[in-house]
Amino acid sequence: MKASAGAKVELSGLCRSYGDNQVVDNVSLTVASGEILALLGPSGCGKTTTLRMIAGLISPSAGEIAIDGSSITALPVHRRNLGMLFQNYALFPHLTVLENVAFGLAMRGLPKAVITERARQALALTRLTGFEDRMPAALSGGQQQRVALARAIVYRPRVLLLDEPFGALDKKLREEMQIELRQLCNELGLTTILVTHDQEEALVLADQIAVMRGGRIEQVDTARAIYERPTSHFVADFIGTSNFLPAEIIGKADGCTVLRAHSGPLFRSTVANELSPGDNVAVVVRPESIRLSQGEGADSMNAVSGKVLRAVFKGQALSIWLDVNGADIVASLPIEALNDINPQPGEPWTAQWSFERTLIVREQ
Amino acid sequence: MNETVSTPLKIVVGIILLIVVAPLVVPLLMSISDTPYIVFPPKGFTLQWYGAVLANPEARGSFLFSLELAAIVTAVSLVLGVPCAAGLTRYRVVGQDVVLGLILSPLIVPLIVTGVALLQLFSMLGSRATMMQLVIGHTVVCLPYVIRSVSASFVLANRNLEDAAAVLGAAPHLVAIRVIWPQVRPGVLAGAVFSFIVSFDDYPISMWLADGNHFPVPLYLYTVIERSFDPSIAAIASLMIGFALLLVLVIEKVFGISLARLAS
Repeated sequence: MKASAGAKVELSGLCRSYGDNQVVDNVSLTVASGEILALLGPSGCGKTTTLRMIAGLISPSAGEIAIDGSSITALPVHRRNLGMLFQNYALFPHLTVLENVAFGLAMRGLPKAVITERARQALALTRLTGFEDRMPAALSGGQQQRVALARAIVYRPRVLLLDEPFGALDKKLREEMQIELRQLCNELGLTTILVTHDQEEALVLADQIAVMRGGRIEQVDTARAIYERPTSHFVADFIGTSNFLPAEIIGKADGCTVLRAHSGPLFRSTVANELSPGDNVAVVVRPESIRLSQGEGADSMNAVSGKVLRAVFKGQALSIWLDVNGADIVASLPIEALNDINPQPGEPWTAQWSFERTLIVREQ
Repeated sequence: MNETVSTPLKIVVGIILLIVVAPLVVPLLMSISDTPYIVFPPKGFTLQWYGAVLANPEARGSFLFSLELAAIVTAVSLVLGVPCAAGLTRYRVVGQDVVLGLILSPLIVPLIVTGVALLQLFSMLGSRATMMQLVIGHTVVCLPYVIRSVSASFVLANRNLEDAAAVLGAAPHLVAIRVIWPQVRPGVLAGAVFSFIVSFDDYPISMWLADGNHFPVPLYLYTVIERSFDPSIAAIASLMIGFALLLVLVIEKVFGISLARLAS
């Protein structure tokens, strides 16, 4: 199968409401050719509705969907030429694996010989050669998934849509499939839009992540930027683990922001932000950005002290919870970096982090 | 589905089957009795009563007429019932429950009442088209069976598959043929079998609507019982049982697995 240049997808002002319930609210997005974008959010955030609108299975209340510059908003589902992977695969139980994969080609009225040849190629691509005559019910979850994938890409769709594709697989298989899928999409240059509630899946698969909440897009950026520079409390909380310290900006100068926590200590941040003094904000610190030292040391910048509440061993890391003036601060220390550090509950310890690891988000 | 059935349950099911099936063996045994009257248990063995029945033009005529009637009724019931079941299960329509209740009501009202009501209606209309009257009367009774089993298969059909087919490029009519039909086929088939057998066996409706030229098997059987009481009656009954059994077996052989899934 030749690599085909994927199409560019643009959503502008996309809305969908059911009665008074605004499920998708003014979503605008651009997915570049060949890019993998993840729509990430908790259940009910409108991500699946958005995907189904792109597929044409739900019609938008307002807004436009364009592929390579031309609007497909009014085009019926079967003429959009998209590929889609459904949550429970939706394989046709009465057809064999080969017939399932051939379905889309048959709908395009291709000659039989071409259909069979291309279906076999797609099965080879998803490592399913030899399974042509099996029925879907006789396959494992991972195999069914691969049949569904072969079925979705065999007719070279302009865009591949994935709806929580790995939800039904166990962890190990899911990780394998994610990597396989990513390779395949890159090889074929397929523009891909993925819906998931699993942040890890989004981080592994996607070039760009759009975090959704309550029908709106909270932030769109690369996986790394979203993780390192969340712009809202919601994103900082939803992606990874974060410590939040309610604070107030007391000064800004030379790319440096000075804040005072409501509980007293001063913080300095060198992370760029568009906030101004007086704004109600929170200082956000990732657990792995924190260094721990024994004893009280809260007189230095970007440090808080407290008593150890508990320490939990998590395989690659040790998580330590500190009670800082009634607020919990969690730090995550990689095992290799532990050495002789062994905090015991009740001991006073100090958590400290660098200026460039001091994130700031606006609070409502 | 693959759970093993416990022994007490097996015994109960066995007893129920025995009670249902055992009476059917009685006419079979009576029909082979080498006596000029009906006895049980049979005396001797002969197949002459089957020969007599099959040689009798009246009996043959009735049998063929019943087949024709059942075939037409089944066709009409399917034509009306399949779209109706599709509509009732897939769309929310105002008055849906009322419509469903009306369609299923012939199963609640005694058939003999339905029959006499239809007779009155037809005579009020001055209708003399006996065949049409019989078809209408039987369809009223058969339609609920078709709608019941077809509705069940529509409810069980996986809507995701239709979405998948549409995304894969199937226009709505192709989705119907390639994806919906394979899923509802067992239900349609089961409905057709029920409809055929119900029509073929019907007495209380036909009793009111039939005439000398349109004379279904159950009516013929009844008149024969009134006239004489030889084992040919049992032979006719056995043939009817055998025919129904054959129908069910053929269907089971061809579509057995899908029917079992539908019933579970």
